[in-house]
Amino acid sequence: MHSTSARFQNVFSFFTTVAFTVAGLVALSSFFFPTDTVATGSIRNVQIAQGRQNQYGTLGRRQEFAHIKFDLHTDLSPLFHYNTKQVFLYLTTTYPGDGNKYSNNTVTIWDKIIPNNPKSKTKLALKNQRAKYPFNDIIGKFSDRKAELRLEYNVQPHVGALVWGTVKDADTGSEVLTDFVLEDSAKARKAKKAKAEAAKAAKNAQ
Amino acid sequence: MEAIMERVYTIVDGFIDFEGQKMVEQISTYGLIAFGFLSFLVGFVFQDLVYTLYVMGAGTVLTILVTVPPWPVFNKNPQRFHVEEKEE
Repeated sequence: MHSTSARFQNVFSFFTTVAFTVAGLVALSSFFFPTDTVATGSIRNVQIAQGRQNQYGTLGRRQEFAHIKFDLHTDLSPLFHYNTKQVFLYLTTTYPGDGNKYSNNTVTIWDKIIPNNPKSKTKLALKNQRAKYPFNDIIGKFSDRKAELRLEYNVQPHVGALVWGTVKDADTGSEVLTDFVLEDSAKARKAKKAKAEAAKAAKNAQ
Repeated sequence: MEAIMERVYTIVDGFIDFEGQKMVEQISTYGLIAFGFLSFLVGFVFQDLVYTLYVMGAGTVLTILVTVPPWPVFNKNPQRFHVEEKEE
């Protein structure tokens, strides 16, 4: 500490220690904020369409794709505190495997990044929103499997640990917002055709 | 020329006495710790991490300004050395 350079080095060195400690305090203080968030969500419409996906320049095999439209209301403001940089929000569907070879599936169908600034909206009210990512099953058919919809989030802080969580349903308190059936498109088409023919026959009979 | 260089060296070196070194040690340690707590509290109370950065930055700059230059207060107790007896 006798000379200017020694004093500067000492003070700066201790500053880095203090800065790291303050960052640690900030990181720990984020755990004081509750993360209770609620949402209500429902599925508007699930379209299972046959299609072929362009895979690296060649067309893949013909298979079923699920196109989903949904409603979603949620208030994420509890997740935004002074140490939140942004929240990554993602909607997942979970459905069982084919019961034979493949295990259960979880697919992200829609996501959104909500940065923590005064302009961004922390309350979401989506109506008839189209899912960003249509998905297909590994065996190419959904064959009437039942799927569940969950809203999950990942809080990304300025300093500290990433926090993952699932938004609870406002009414039931369950993590599953809603469930729906991934219809067998061939069967559905056949049923529709049969119905149309029945209607036609009824009309002819009159 | 030599006189000028001597002056430059004095400013650059900035030597202070032992009492001054003790003071600098205490001021920098307690000052930085206090500003660290203050910055955390300000950021937490006002719910804005930018305040934490500003308070910590300002506190560090202030501490450096107070402790690094060889202020006269740090040279109030110069060490007296035994004067060499001159042989004529």
